[in-house]
Amino acid sequence: MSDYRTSIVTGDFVGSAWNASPTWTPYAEAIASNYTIQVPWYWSTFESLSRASGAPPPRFTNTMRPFLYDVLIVGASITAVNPAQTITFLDNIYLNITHRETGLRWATANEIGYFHILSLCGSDGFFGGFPVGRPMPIMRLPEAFFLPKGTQLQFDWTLYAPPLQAPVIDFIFTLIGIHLTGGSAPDFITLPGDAGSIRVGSRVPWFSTIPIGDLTSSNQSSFVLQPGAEVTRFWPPEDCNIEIHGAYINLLPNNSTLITMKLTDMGEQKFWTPSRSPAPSFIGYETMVDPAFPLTKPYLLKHGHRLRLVSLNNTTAPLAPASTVTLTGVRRCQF
Amino acid sequence: MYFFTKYVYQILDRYMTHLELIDTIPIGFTGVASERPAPVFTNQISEDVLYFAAAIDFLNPAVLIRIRSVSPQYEWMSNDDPLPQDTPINAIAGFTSQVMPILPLVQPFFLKAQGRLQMSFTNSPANAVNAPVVGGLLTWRALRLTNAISGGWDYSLGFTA
Repeated sequence: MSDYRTSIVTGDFVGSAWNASPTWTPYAEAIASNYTIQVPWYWSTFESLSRASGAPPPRFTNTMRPFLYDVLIVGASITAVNPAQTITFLDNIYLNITHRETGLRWATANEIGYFHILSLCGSDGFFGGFPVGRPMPIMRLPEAFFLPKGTQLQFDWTLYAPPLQAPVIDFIFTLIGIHLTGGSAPDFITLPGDAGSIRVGSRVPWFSTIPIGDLTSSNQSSFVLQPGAEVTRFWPPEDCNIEIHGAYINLLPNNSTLITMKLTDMGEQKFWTPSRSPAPSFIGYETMVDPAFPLTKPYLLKHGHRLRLVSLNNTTAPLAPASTVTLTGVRRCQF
Repeated sequence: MYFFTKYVYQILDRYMTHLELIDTIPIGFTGVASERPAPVFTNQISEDVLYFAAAIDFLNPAVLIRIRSVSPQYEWMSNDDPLPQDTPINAIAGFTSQVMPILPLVQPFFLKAQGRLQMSFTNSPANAVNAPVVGGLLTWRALRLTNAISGGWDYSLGFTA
């Protein structure tokens, strides 16, 4: 798996949609195969975030209590449970997940440091008091996350959005997976194809969110892309190889079809888009079945390389403040 | 339609016949906000059962659910906080407006003959526009596993990858 000519075997199982069945990756199957009892597992937590007008983004951290058994986390869901609030408030929520014992983060450490919640979670909620049935209330992670017994996940929340759009948001965040007992995890597992043997824990969900637009104030989330303006931004390089599986934008097609983008792998000097392409042509959004829209084939971004995004606003109005693009994938590090 | 893991194949391989089972359970909501009716159970089946997916007949994302199996007893909702948070119904069961009206479990769940699933519901809070649910049905899609080979599957049997 050293260059682009080889197939990314485990990446053949891509897509964020739960679909008719949450297809397991070979990594997940290989871990679960060591346990005789596998029971559905749901972990839900209620959170309430608020942001006063003009205030900087709030910060809130909570942790999961450790369990006495191993868990394989496969999917996630978020529900706006307060009928008086509107499902679009979920657009303002950003999250980072860290495995406390190893310090491994799911979000790229960049100027945002969080990822958009709907690039991870399927969603449901209310609009104008009426329930909204989104097409896919659960999303599958780019890769299953193995949570060893006795260890914890830390959740860092923020409302990365301008004031007035995000008053108070009540929601329930749910992780969905398998409770594993009757066995123990091996140190290494063998994957099909040329991937060979890898250490358990060496494939971690990866999310990298960058803003679209220019910073207009010292407020961290005040990014704006004016009509006719073009801006260049970079996804930061990582210290491990990354399998990029999909992309998500926190805009709906009526706002994003006239936003054209150009992507380039700077390390390889290879562009993905010879000309600019409309954002929805390769980036998913919240009302899709597969919001983290999968690439044609997972892309291997080598460690130290970075991706460049050039965005042009072809509309007659400024792009919605705090618009972001999130790439989803798998971080491949063996320690 | 469903994706079977190796674990599921090993269970299925222990039975010669797999029969469709569609089990609908009335929840018994009376339309009172945030009410918690008595837990409801799946029907007792005289054969081993593999539960695959669930559906509900109402759209209300603020309805919560907690599930455990009875005999053997496994808690599905694992939050062990002092005040455990139940799970929104939309993370368990599908509805007709969704792509998958029957939402599949992350992994099918095996239940021995005469075993049951216990489901505890909480109705949605008060809402000026959309009232809490009245009635409510939850339907499980499952397979009845009959004509067991060598006694069928059991949790203690072990599993070989």
